[in-house]
Amino acid sequence: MRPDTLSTALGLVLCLALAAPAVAQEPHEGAVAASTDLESLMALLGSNDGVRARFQETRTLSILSEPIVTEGLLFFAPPDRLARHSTRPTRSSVLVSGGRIYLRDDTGLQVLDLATSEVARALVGNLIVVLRGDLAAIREVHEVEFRTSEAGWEIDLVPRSRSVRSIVERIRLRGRGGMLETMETRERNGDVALIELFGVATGEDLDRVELEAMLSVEALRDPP
Amino acid sequence: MTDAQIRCLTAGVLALLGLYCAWRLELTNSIAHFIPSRHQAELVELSFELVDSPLARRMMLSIEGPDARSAARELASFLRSHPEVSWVEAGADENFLRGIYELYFERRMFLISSSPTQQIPEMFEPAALDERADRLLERLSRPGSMLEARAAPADPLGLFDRITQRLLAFSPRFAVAAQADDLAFIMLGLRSSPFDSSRQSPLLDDIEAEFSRLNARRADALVLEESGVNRFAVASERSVRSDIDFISLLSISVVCSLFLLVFRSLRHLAIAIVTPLAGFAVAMSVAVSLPGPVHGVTLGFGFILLGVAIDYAIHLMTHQSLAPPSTPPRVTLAEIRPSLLLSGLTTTLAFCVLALSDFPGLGEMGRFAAIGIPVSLAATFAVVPAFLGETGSPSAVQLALASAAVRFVDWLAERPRSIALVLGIFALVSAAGLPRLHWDDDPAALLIMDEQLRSESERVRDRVSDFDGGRFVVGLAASSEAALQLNDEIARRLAELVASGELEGIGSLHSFLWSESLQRENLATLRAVPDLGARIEASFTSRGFRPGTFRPFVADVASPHAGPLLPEHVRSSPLARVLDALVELDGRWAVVTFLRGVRNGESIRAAIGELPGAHYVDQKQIVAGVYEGFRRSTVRMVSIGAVCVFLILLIRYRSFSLGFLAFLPSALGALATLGWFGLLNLPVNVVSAVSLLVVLGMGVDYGIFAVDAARSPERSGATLSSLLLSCLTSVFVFGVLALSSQPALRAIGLTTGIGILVALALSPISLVLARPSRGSATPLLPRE
Repeated sequence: MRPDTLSTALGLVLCLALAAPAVAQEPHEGAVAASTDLESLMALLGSNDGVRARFQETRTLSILSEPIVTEGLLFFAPPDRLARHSTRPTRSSVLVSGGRIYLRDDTGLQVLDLATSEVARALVGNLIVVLRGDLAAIREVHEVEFRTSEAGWEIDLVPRSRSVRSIVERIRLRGRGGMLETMETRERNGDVALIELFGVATGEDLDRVELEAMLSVEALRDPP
Repeated sequence: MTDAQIRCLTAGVLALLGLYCAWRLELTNSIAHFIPSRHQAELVELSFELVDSPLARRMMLSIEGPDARSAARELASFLRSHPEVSWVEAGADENFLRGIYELYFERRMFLISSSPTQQIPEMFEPAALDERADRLLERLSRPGSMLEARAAPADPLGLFDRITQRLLAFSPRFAVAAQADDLAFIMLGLRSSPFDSSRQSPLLDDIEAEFSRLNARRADALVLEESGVNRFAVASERSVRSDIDFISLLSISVVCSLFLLVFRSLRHLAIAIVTPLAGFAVAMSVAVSLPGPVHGVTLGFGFILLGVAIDYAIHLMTHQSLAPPSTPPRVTLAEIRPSLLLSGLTTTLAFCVLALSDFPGLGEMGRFAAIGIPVSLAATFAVVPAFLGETGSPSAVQLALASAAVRFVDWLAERPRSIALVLGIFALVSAAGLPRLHWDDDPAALLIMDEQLRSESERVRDRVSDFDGGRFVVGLAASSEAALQLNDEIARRLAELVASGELEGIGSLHSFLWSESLQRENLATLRAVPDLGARIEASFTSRGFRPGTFRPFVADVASPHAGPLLPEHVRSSPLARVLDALVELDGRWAVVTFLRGVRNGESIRAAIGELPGAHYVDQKQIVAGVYEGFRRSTVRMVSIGAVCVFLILLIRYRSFSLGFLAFLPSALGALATLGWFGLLNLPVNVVSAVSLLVVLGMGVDYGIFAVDAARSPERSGATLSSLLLSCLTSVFVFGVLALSSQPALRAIGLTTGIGILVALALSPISLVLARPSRGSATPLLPRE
């Protein structure tokens, strides 16, 4: 295991959690009405059969004068595969598949077994159930607060697990209609990570070949 | 005393001695028993004691295939509850990582560098700080840097990372496993000795069974490979047992058949065994009465003596069978007493010379023989006649053998050229073969290793870059702190060899624990850095870090939350097992450094040469040296013994020719045996050398009886047939070991089998040449 695996293990799942598109759909007539309550919103989220989106993550760390901005692409395929490929400032990839997290960067490939880390398991498991729209599972591991306003809707997730809560204060999802626009994670030490999503593609708009390639473990082992 | 009383007394005494020996017996297998130098013996003994636990008492399992990791977790969970498993390591889980963090993070200021006065100031050069700040910034931008951001204020220089790098350097298998999801490793510690096959065999079977169960749930897609000393020990024990079972069955069957054929009675076999049993029982009773344990090799040697001493009873029984009817056994005994006495004396002398050896083990064997042979002889005189009773009629086989022997001797006597030819052939074999003789002193050559097991073990060890077995550096000191200080220096010097490519890697306790003095030097050097906080502030803020971010680090330097890392801290952590390398032995402390990829042992010796208390140990080399010395000493002692035997024969016969003829079968038997090995390019070893003693001891008996029979022609038939029976018994007791797959047993079998057959073949020649008149022998008259 690499020297930074512990920090990597916990940090990367949070980054995946931060970057995950909870829902990515163009609003449509039925969906606007359906997203006024949480159950309907979760049902809408769960109806996705794959997602591709550009993301920009801005991390405001208490130890840095300026935030760190990361850009890249996100891919999700139900029920539980998720990948984040960063292109700026450095190239790196994180993939969740088959109960493992794969991290590739310029130093090489790391593999973390989710079964070995309660925190990682909790965070990734949490992420997956959100993407599946599994409200019951979300409520099992989070206290959930749902609000709507003219500007859209807002979901606050506060972890129930003490070990996760020792790191993450809350996760706030914001969206409009059936579209997630931002996800903000606030840590206990004041650090904040804000994810903004752009150009979301789902359903028929997805290039399935590209989706499978970007979610492939083999591609991560031997990147082009 | 009547014969019945003698029989009862004999049985009672043997039973009592047997019980006494069983009660007092304490065995040792210490190799130091065979090392003459006290210092060298101490070092070897220490080395075996030190590495017995960490390296030999463990197994490595490798599982390859889809879902290997979860299968490994399940198998590890099963093994943790196995009674023969003391610990299991199956990758670094969350608890392990937490334990590492808790042990080292607050002590990071004490464990910065092995050369603190040089490296710590270098770390605070502006360029070095700038580089470090850039690297931290880059890591913060990567995924998974959340905890990095949290730890950075207290550890801007990545001191904890340096510590975890050292931990990884000790055991790269974690790095291998982290990068492959279709490969997993399990390491487990054995509760019992790996050589205790009664415990290891069930464990190995249980591992296979549990893995099969796990694999069945995964469509048998996984492959399990194992490495461990216990596998070889169990396989070897099974092979030896299988061999011994077959050989024992063959041996017992043939010997019983021989006795039935010749004496028409197994009672004679039982009587014959009384002789060597008496000698063994008394010699063993003396050995166990002395302080200290008896060596296992001495015990094995004692069993070999059984095969030598049984001949005395065979000679008496054969002569008694062929004696005139109603001849009391004691009368027969009186006739052959001079021959038996001389045989016993010469055999005892030949083995006694061992007692003069520098090797404690050889000396013990010599003393054992010095007691066992005379007692066996005394039992032949005092006890065997009481069991035999008066002469019955000889069997047809005995008569036929005796007659055939006499005819053969007469035939031979009329063909001096045949005699010369036979002698010439054996002499030529000796002369041609001896210079080509190759002594193999590699102890590994005495064991047969299952090739499949060996290949599998090497594959597993290669995957995890395991340490070389049997080669390591030992540091000895008066206290644990002194041992750790010595180890700090050993690690530093060996690290230079790694850097230069002389070594692939080292497994040192230094990766986990430094001496307290080195740790305090680190903190003191860190505190002595001028304007430490200001330097960090200047570099890091110029790279985008907020001012004041690293005040926690500066505060920790001034007042650390924990003191230096001490052995007791490690002992109560998940890393407790690493302290196996630091042990207290007889008031001194020893620390072991394991080595990987040793290319040149001399470079290691040179690197640590003048360091007091540091020693490079190559167990294989030491053991090979021990074996070679032991072999040389044995051959030397055998040679001295042979010369002494020859002198005794000269004194006894007061004739050079007769003395030489009595000596001929044993001497030429031993030389021709070695000659054959040389000509056939068969390597010989220390076991062969010891077996030569048996050839010498038994061969001289054949020569003595042959020469004495030459002067008492009426006993020629009985003598030669008793020699034949004695030889065949010995061949099927020792010689059949040549059928074994085990090299050590095979060496005993070939050496003794060939040697005593040659000695037997030469005995009639000695008889013919020793005849005073060269006339025909008067055959032993059959009863009418």
